[in-house]
Amino acid sequence: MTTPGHHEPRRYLVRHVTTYSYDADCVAAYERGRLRPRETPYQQVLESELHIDPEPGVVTEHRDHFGNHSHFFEIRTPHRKLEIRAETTLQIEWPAPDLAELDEWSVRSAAGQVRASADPVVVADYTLPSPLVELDGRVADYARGILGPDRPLGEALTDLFHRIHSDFDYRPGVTSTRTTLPEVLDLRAGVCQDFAHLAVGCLRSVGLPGRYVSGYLETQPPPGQEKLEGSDASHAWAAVLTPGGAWVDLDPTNDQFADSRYVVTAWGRDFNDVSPLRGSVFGEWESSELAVGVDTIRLDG
Amino acid sequence: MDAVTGTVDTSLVDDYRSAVSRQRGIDEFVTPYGVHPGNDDLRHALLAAGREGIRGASTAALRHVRADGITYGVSAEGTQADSWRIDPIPVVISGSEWERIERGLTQRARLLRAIHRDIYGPKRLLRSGLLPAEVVLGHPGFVRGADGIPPGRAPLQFSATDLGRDDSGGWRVLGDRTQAPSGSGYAMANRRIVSRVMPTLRRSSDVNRLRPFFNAHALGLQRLARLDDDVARMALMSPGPASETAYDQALVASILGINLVESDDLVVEDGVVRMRTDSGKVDLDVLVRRVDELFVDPLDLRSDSRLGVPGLVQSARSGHTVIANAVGTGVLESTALPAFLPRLCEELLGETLEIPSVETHWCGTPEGLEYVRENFDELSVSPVDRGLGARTATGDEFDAAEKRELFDRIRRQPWAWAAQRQATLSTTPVATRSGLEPRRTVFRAFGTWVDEEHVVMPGGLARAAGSPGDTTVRNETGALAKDVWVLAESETDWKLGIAPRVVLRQRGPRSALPPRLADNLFWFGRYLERAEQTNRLLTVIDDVVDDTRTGASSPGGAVTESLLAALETMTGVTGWEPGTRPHLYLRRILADPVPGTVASSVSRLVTAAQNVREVLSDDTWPVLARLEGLRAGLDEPDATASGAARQLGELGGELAEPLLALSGTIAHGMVRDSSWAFVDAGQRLERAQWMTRLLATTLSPARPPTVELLVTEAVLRVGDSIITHRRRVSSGQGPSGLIDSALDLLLLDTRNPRAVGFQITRLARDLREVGDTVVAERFEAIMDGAREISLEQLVDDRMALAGTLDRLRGELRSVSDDLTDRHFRRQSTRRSFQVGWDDTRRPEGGR
Repeated sequence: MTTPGHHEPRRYLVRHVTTYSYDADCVAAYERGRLRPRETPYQQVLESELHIDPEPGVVTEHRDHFGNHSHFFEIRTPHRKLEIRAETTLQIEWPAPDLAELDEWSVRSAAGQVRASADPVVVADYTLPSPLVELDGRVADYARGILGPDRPLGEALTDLFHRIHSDFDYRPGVTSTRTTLPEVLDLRAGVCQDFAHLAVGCLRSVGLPGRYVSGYLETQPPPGQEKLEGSDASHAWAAVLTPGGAWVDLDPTNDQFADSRYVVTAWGRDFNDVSPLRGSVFGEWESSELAVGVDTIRLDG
Repeated sequence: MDAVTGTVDTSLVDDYRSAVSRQRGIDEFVTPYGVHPGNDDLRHALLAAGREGIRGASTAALRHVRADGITYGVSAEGTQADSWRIDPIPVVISGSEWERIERGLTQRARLLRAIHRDIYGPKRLLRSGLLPAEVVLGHPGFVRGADGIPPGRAPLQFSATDLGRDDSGGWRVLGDRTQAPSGSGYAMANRRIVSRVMPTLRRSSDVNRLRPFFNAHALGLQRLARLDDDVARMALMSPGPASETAYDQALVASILGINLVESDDLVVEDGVVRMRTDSGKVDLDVLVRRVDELFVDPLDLRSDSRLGVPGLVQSARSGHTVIANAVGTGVLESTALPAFLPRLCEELLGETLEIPSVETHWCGTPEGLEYVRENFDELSVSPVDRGLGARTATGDEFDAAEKRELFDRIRRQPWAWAAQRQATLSTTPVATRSGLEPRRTVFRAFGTWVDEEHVVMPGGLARAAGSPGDTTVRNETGALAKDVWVLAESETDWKLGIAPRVVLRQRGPRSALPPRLADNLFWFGRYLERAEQTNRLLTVIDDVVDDTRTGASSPGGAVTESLLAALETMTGVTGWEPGTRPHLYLRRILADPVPGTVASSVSRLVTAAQNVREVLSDDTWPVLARLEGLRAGLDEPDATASGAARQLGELGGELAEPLLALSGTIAHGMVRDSSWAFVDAGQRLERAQWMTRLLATTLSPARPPTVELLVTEAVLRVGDSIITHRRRVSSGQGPSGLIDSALDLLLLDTRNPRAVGFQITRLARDLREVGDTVVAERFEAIMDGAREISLEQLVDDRMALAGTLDRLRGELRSVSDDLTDRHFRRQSTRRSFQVGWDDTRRPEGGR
């Protein structure tokens, strides 16, 4: 549950390093990255840098359909190792959602109000199914037990992350970037990405716009141990559009609403829209390795 | 009522009219009392031709389709795609009628362009609710990765519109084709064939030509590049020869005068799409896209696509290379969109929609869903993107359970469904064995933009239903293509009249060839030569076998055995049992579908030709069609030995002719540029390697003198040099010994077009033609080495002969590998990666 004390302002440095290694030359690499965190009502980006080695011939950036920063780069220097390092300094102050206010709405009335008043483009983008958030009958069945139409919204949303957290095991390796919701429902297990997809699917199946959010979460080392470099991870959770136009972010993996420890990078309909890095690479290597290291370092604590 | 002219029998048209009168809807040719305006000439022509003449025209059209190699449909590996099916009777539309259609199509193009610009830009239509956001955002053809690209870099340049005329006589739009419209090439192919089979009618009618439209199309594409003082460099991006409309793509590329390219021919460098050629890379300003939009870029779109180029979408976004039509135009093909066009036309253009769409209901509103439920039996429902696997059928074609199941699916995702009320389509006359038959017909019209001016093709592609009872027209059920003649009786063609003639110049190297194309041209040459050589050898052996029926112990028998052993080595097709009658084995070398046979080389030759369709001359296709016809005839072998012998003699001779004709077409019909040089190099290299091998297998083993004499003679006949040999001997020129003479004529001679020396000299020249002096010099070095060979010594020492020929073969193979590596090199293997959450090593599939 929401812990008092995690809503005060915090300052973070996030370092996200991706390394491709090959046992023969990669002769050309084309990359699409969504690594630069966007600004949000609760998050201010103070500094953001992208270092790429070897140096790309072309780097461009634009805002994508969802408003995320999207980088394209092209490297045609033959290389056996490519390192992409994104470093961002942010200031975050993320208040707790006003549950009492949310509880004034039922799930049904909230869905109706949002659909009637929000931007139709946003409503359509985030209520229609998407490639990784298929809305079949089983997702709706699962959602019905949690997001009942007459249930107060705040309570229902709290129950949503809580139920996913207790019904599903956190088990890395059993799912992939292409796992669909019916598969997750069968497995009763997955990682943050799958839980975020499921939460989004539940929201959409009751008519509430739900989006997939990618970012980071500061982690604590086990008691008595030093925090290891690169030991943090990128993270994913869900957000729901509520009456009045505010998005409420909820994290089924950690059984809580988002707070000042959450760093937002990008959002979209599902993982495919916000994948931190996609590459299309040319070469004749036998084996390759892809390594990701993340550090979320608190600067003011 | 038409006046009956003299003694002409009008029953053909009268019978047709009464057939029309027995059905619903209107006909495009006849009225209850006569013919439609502009159709008098057609009526006269049909009556003059009579039933027999029409049958003849039908047969002739089919023959032309086969001869020109016009195909449609997917060809499975190793088999041929279906031939295009065409009816010889054109649909004639008067100029004034067409003027109205043209105006309506231009309005529709303006409307679709305005919608396209809005939905990939400010999205006012979606935000205001004029166009429900789900219609656009719920369609898989709305490509979010292409959102926000400025309209100038993302053109909806070229579109096709399927039209039908309903029973009220009004035109209706049945569907819009905006994603990667096909068919304009088929329209041109139809025109060419119908003009040939209806020559008198064609000459007597004042029909708008199609060519000026393609000139306008080319000009419009040029303008997309926005180069003030230069000519844009363009290419047409194709999924490859296995694509359903490969013929259409190749013909359009060749009419536009631009390269046909595939994924492997393209690379993005410095953000620019470049075409790889044998002489370096060429920047492309405009890429005409015929690859489905979701497959063009494995980085930003489908990562499993093998047809795309990573960075393509970014190149368009950055304004380096314009892709036409833009990625994302597929959403305009939504079957739900027509429901909103009247309102959008009023709103965006302030005009009334001139050509209405067929009545359409979108299921995404409660009222729409309710209407569809209540009128289910009369409507045909389909997923908005048509691609979801549900069949398009009218509600009354389903039984109660199917209906319930379908309606349940619709109710679960109503925004993904639309329903249309099928119009009763008009009919056109189709030639049948007994005369004319009315068939339901749809028309595909084409339009393009030249700057701010919209130009419509004065004509199009009509398709008539495959059988008389069909109420809809689908290619899968055997539709027939028909030419559409728009009469030039009014000023309708003024736009095309003023469209300047466009002469497309390719900037940079004039005949820049992508490696894939060079590779296919080279193998076209090699397979042509291989088929011809194998066939020659087979024919000579067949003659020898016929002349020497004296058993294996006689010299004749020993000659046969030596030649058959050589044939086994040369073709790699084993299975001859010494001592048995060889006809069945020889027939296998002719007809079996395994590598090394004549049949196999012919099929590979035809495939290679289809892969380079756009650079081969029109004369090539009838010859290839004959070859393919003969090859297909080989599939029904006569199982008896005598039958095999007959087939060998007849078919071997028949095949020789088109093979020689093809070589002639290449030698006399192709401009001496690098395309030609690669074909020639293929032919020369094949012939050089083949002859070297033949000499090694036949002449290097020591044999009894009588056997050697006969074998050598046979080799001279295979090398078409026996007469030269005899003339030389009688005039006292050249070596007098038969084997010396054979080696002199077939190995070292640089003037005998069958000799290895001749091939190598030509290869050096070919390689200089394509600008490769390195490989040219390697060939010259081989020739210099060959000149040092002393034939006298080799004749005396057969081991040395074998060694020399072996070395020569090795050298040729090594240069051949070098040539392949330097000119036909494909790009490196491409793979896709996607970094997932928390995790490591997640390579995806890909190439």
